[in-house]
This record gives sequence, structure tokens and C-alpha cells, in this order.
Amino acid sequence: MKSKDNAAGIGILGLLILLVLLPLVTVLFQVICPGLSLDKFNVSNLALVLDVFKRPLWKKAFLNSFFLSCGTTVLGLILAAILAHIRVNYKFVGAKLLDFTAWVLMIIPSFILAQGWVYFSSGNGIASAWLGIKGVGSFVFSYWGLVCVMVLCKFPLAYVTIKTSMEWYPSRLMHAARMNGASAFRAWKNVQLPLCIPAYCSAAMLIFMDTVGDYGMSSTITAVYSFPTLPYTIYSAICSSPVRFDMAGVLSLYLMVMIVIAMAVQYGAMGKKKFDFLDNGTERVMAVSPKKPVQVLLTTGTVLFCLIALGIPVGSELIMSFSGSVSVQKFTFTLDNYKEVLSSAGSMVSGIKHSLGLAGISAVFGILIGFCVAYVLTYSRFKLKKLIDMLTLVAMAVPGVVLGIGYIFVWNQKWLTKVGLHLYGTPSILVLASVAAAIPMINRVLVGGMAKIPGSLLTAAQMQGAGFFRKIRTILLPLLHNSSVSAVLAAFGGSVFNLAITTILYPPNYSTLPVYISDSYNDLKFGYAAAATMVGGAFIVGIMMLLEVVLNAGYRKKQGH
Amino acid sequence: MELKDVKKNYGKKEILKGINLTVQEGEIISVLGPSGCGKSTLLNIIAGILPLNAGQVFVRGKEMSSPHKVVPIEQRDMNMVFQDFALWPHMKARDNIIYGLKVRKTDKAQMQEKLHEVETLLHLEGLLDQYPAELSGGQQQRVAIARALITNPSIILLDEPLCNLDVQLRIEMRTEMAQLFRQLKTTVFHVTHDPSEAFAMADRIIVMNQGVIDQIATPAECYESPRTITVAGLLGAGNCVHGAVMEGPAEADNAETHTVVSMQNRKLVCKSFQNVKKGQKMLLKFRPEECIFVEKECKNAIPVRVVMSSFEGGQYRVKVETDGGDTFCLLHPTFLKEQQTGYAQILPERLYAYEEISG
Repeated sequence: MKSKDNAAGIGILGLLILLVLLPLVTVLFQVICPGLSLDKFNVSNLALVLDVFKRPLWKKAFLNSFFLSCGTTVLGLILAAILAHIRVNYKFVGAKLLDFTAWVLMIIPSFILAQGWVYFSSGNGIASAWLGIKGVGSFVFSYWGLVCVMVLCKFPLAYVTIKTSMEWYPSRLMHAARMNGASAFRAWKNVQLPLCIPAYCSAAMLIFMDTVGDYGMSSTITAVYSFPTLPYTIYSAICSSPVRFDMAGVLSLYLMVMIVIAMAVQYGAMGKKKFDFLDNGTERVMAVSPKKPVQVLLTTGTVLFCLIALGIPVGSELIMSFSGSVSVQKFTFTLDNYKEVLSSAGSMVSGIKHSLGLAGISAVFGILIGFCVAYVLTYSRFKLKKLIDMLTLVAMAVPGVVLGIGYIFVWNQKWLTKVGLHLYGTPSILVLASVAAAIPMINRVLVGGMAKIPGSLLTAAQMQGAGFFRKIRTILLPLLHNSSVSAVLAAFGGSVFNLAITTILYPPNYSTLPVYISDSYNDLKFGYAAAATMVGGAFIVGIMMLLEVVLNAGYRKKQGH
Repeated sequence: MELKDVKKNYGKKEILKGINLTVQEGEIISVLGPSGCGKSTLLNIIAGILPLNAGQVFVRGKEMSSPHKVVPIEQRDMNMVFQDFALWPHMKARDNIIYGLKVRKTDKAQMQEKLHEVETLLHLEGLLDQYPAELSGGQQQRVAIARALITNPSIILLDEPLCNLDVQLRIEMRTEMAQLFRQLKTTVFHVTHDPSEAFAMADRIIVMNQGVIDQIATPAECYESPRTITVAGLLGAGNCVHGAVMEGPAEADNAETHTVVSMQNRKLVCKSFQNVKKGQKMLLKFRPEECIFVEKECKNAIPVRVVMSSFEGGQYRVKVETDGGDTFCLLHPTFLKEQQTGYAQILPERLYAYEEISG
């Protein structure tokens, strides 16, 4: 039993090292060994690490990323906390609109949101041309403007986390504090607030990590406003001539260091405390109906907020998709963009096909590997479980750009040609990278699902004589059905729109949907890019909905419901 | 089943310190002990859920566990009723019960026959098509027992199977279970922290403390002659007074098992399980219900003063204090006034003496 645990654990560990750690290490190794060429190996290159404070572009990219992420984290956390507080504690019309907006914003890839904001705010964009609001462009394309846009795109990560923690009120613990003489405020400060701190820390870390590693937003904004960030500069170092391996290595190092510090701060803030207070003494918070004027105020505020956060980027995309001109100022209604998208069967349809194929394979392999990882983490007694857990966290934290570049270094070595594993330039490398990118999300979802299934249910099956695979097939999988479907859909959706990895790794003549949209946008074919986004998005969402129906229908049929 | 010098560590902490035990076929064994004594660890080692660090576990002469070998759980021919019942929530009661038969590819007719048998035996009529969430605690427990019984295992393991039930149901179910297992002559290894559950079910009780077995005996023997101070405390002898061994033969019938202890210049005859020396300090343990308050001086009695009486429904629990400052409780049919003086009499057979270990 123990040896089986060990064998499974070692296998999983090996796979994670190959898929995540090795690419990451090779990127960082570029600092002292550019291009992984041993004749260029030079330890003194480590001095380059300090060059980030001397070379203007490196310094600017580093500082831009740092301050953008810090600003977004602080403001995003405040906004998310306020919205979560309102949503949990008050009943008002439109409350659910807030949840809907948050979930949709989390699903839409950042480069599409960014395109929407560009269409709205640029000099002759919707804000100035149609609404007559001057100065929007100069505000949005400034540090504080970008922070605001980022906050509106990233706040859902914190909102969902904080809201979940606020939904439960530790009544027994609060009563105990009051019995001991604490005032309502003191009880909140000393009991309720500390219990929520892990949620706030996690929320802050999620926003910070997502912002600092966001390639889609920075690559899109760069087209109209020069605001170099680390992910985009790393991409440029590798994908423009002359190739700067050392620069990519140093900047990746700083990117990872920032993420690691954010994670360390979170762990430090949480310490070793475990805040499990969801027991019988915890009550679900009941939202109350405020007075009429307050209700009207909350409803109006919520609708306005949702219009800004979701309506502006999505609405702008929609408007632009019907625009006959690059500039909204000269807007003429046309369906030509859609006609062109749908008729240019060659590139658009093949892009969708490639993306769907990639996403399908990533979801299948991702769920297989993610399931094994989650099983080992939840039920096995493998001694290096913590290392596996840490690697999945690293996989979640590594920005797509760094992972993608790492894959180039790992799979573009000459000696691999001899063993038939020279994967760079083939769709296989995209598959591998997409699987690696999908594993953390799948793993988190499945670990959450498995945490609710006590090990005794599996032991009980073994007691009845069931072997390992029977136990998995008849007990674990049926109980994990919902989590598995969520994990598959999340991995599928995430892979379809993964811009960073596909931009860096797509082989010649193997364009994917996000690359296709992004290229059209960079070629200033705004209407066409927007129409492609709409068509591609609708197609993918349709497929995901169908997939969900099929997966659940199969399950219901099997269960005889 | 035989356990030979079974040891288990968690890191540097020794949980089981060499357990030796033999269980006969058809015997019901209850393992009793305070939290953290190692009883659940022992059960999990027998089940094959946990590996051991030293020793061996044999079932019908076949080695099941040793540091180098662990027969997988599914190949041990054991079954278990879990503390939380571990019923699979996505399967109806029927599917939960026959799961083991399906694994063994039992033919349908035989499966139906066996299902009908356990259905009748455990009064599950009308419940088989319900999901676990639709069943009450007692019904869930009966389904869990049915699932464990239907595969006809050589040993059934019970991991505190009653602790999730309410008091009334617990009392009912422990009697039912004892009757059922005796009727079926099943070998049962039962872990509990509740003495009355162990008394109701077991042929023999194992009392564990800090990773070792303190006593293995019949329930009556454990109750009447608790070998260690922990066993005495666990089986209700919570009252404790101090004394010292006196010289001279015991004035009881069984002089070889009894000793005479002095307490406030009075002689008390008590049961003793160790070799004691004159002058040795002793702790005397006894149960409140086996101590009588009398007003006049008598044999084997301690002078006491009433501290308080509290009504318990049908009788009073009276807290008393000796001249030496020891306090203990006794039960009395009527209310006794504060400061009232008298004597607490305990029969020699019910007064247990243990060596007092300093520190």
C-alpha cells in the first residue's frame, strides 16, 4: 500500500518536474548560461541581475509591473471587500447582477477586455466620439487609469473569495466573545476579522499574481500606450531580433521573485493557524432589506458599476464588430466584419479548430494528471506530498509567458532531434504547455471536491473487496462528478483563450483563435478582430455549454435519475 | 486472530508499545480506553489501513501485517462498521449493501437471497430503495452493519459505531448489536470509549492506556477487579482517598488478594493487585454507588463530613470530606445537610488499593 503510494507519488512528482519546474529553471538559468549554450556559461553574468536598476527598459518594466500590481491589489481588494459586504448583507434588486458580472469578467480573457477598453477610451473611441466625454483616453492611458482598468478586470478574483468567507457568521465564537464582556466592535475586531484574514490574504495574492503575470492586458495596451511590463518585455526579448536570452532570464527571475514574495507574505500573514470555523456554531448570514432609498441607491450603484466593469469592454467589442471603420468617429454600421470572419474559412475556422483541438487534449490530459495529483495530495501517505503541493502552486503562479519561453528552451535542444523529441515548432509543444497550464486549475478544483469525500468511503469499498480501480470507478468518480465537470470546463475554457502560451509557441501554419484575434488587432483591423472575438467566443461558449449538458446527461443516465 | 508485539510510532511518538493479543473465533472483543490510548490505531493496523513499525498480525495463521508485508485491505476477509458509517451517498441502501457481493461476482439469485437475509435480520424492510441521506442515524447504522455482514467476513471491525447516535438510540442499538453478533457467532473487534457499550457487547474487554494493554478480562472481572488505577477510573471508580499499608493479615476472607490499609488511624480492608510493603503509600479507589453513608461507626468506614448534596432524580449525590482533606462523592436516598457528620462505608470487595507513585 505504502509502496503503491510511493510509486504514484514519484510518478506525479516526475511529471510535475518535467512540465513545470524544468521549464521554469531553464528560464532562470538563462542568466548565467544564455541560450543554454555551455560555451556561454558564465557565473559573472549574475551581475546582470543588478542591471535591472540600471538599464532603462528593464527598470521601467520592473517598476511598471510592480506598481501596477501593487495599486491593483490594494484598490481591487478594497473594492471587492465593499462589494462583497454589500452583496452579503443587503437585499436589493440587481444583487445577483454583481455575481454575474464577476463570473463573466473572470471567464473573459484579459486581452479581450483590454481591447474593449482600448476601443472605448482611445482618442477617437466611443467615449469621446459618441458620449462626448473628453479626457477619458488621457486618463485610461496613464498609470492610475491602467490601475483602474486592471481593478475592474481583476476585482472578481478577490470578490468571490471574500464573499464566500463573509457568507458565514461565526455566531458561537462571537457569542463567546460577548459573554466575556467584549463589545460588538471588539468581538468583530478580535474574532470575526482575524477569521477572515486568510480570505483577504488569498484574495490579495490572487490579484497580485494575476496582474503581475498578465501578458494579455499589457500586450494589448502596448499597441496604443507605451507601458512596458515584465511579461511583455520578456516576450519581446525572446520574440524580437536580436534575441536576448539573458534579459529574458533576468526579468523572469524578477517576475518570479515578486510572485514568490507575494506568496510568502500571504503565508507569513496566515502563519500556521488553521481557521476552520465552519461547524454547527456557524450561521449563514441572512441579507436584510434596507430602507427604500438605500435600496434604490444600491440598485442604481450596482447597475452603474456593472455597466462600467462589464458593459464598457463587452459593449465596445460589440459596437466595434459592427463598425465599418477603424475609428468609431467615422462609424458606419456594417456586417462585413462578420461576413469576412465567417467567409475567411481558411484562417478563422482553422484557428478555432486548432484551439478546440488543443483545449480538448489539454482538458483530457489535464484531468488525468490533475486527478492523479489531487488523489495523491488528498488520500496518499506519500512523504513528498508537500513538494507536490508546492509544485502545483508554482505551476499556478508561473506566468504563461515564462512557462512558454521555458518550453522553448527545454524542447528546442539539438540532442532531442536524435531521440525524436525535438518538439519545438510542432503542435505537441503547445499541447504539453497547455496541459501544464491547465493542471493547477484542475488540481485545485479536484482537491476541493476530494476534500469533501472522506477517505473512509474509499476504505469501506476496499473492505468490501474492491481493488484500486474499482474503488475509483464506483465510489470516487461518481462522487466527484460535479467537480470533474467543472474542472474539465475550466481547463477547456482556459486553454482555448490562452494567449501567452499560444503566441509564444504556435508552430508555423498553426494559428490559434487567440493568436488570430490578437494579430488582427495588432494589424489595426479592429472591427475584424472584434467580430472574430464575438464569433469565436460565441462558438466556444456554445461548445462548452453543449459539453456540460453532454457530460451531465451521461451522468444522470448512468445514475438513473 | 493473533497480534504479536505490535508497535506503532508517529515520528518519535510511540503510539503502540508492543501489543500481544489472541482473539478466538466467534469471540466479541471490545477495546476500551481514553482518547489517545492507541485503540483506533490498533484497529486500523488490524484492518490494514495503517502500516506497523514492528510485530505481526495473523488471521487464521496467515500473516496479514508486518513491517515488511501488508496484505491489502481488500484481500483481508475483514469488514468494518465505521464511526461515520461511511455509506456511499450516491448509492441507495440496497446498492451500498450488495456492493461487496458485486465485487465478488456473486450470482444474482444468491445475492437476492443474502440481501433478503440481512434485510430481515436488521429490520431494513422498506428502506433499501432510499439514499443514505434519507435514513435516520439508527437506520444508517443498520445499513452499515448489513453491508459489513453480507460478505460473511472472518472478522468484523467496529470503530466506535454508536458514538454518532443519540443516547436513547445508542442504548437500544448496543443491545441489538450484541444480540445479533452472538446469534451469528461472528468474530468482532470493537473499539469504544464508552464502558457501558463495551460491557453490553463484549465477551472480553481489553483496556488500553498509553499504548499498552492494562487488562484483558471478561466484563465482570474488569468491573470487579480493575488491575490498574486507569482501569478503575475508566470503569467508574472515580473516588480517591489516600492511605498507607498496615502490618498484619487482612481481616477479609481472601487474605492473599486483599490488604489492610490505615487511614486516619482506621483499618480499611481493600482489594490489591500488587505486592505491597508495610508503610507504602496507597491510593484507594471506589465507585460512588458502592459507598454507603451511615451515621454510626462500622467496619471498613471512613469518618466524613457532608460538603453538599445535589438532587439527581431518585437519589442525591453527596460530596463529603474526610478529616485528612480528601473529598469524594457517594449516593444517598435522602438529602443530607451540610456539615452533617457520619461514616462512608465501602465493602472490601469494592475498595481497590493501588500504589501511590510520587510525582
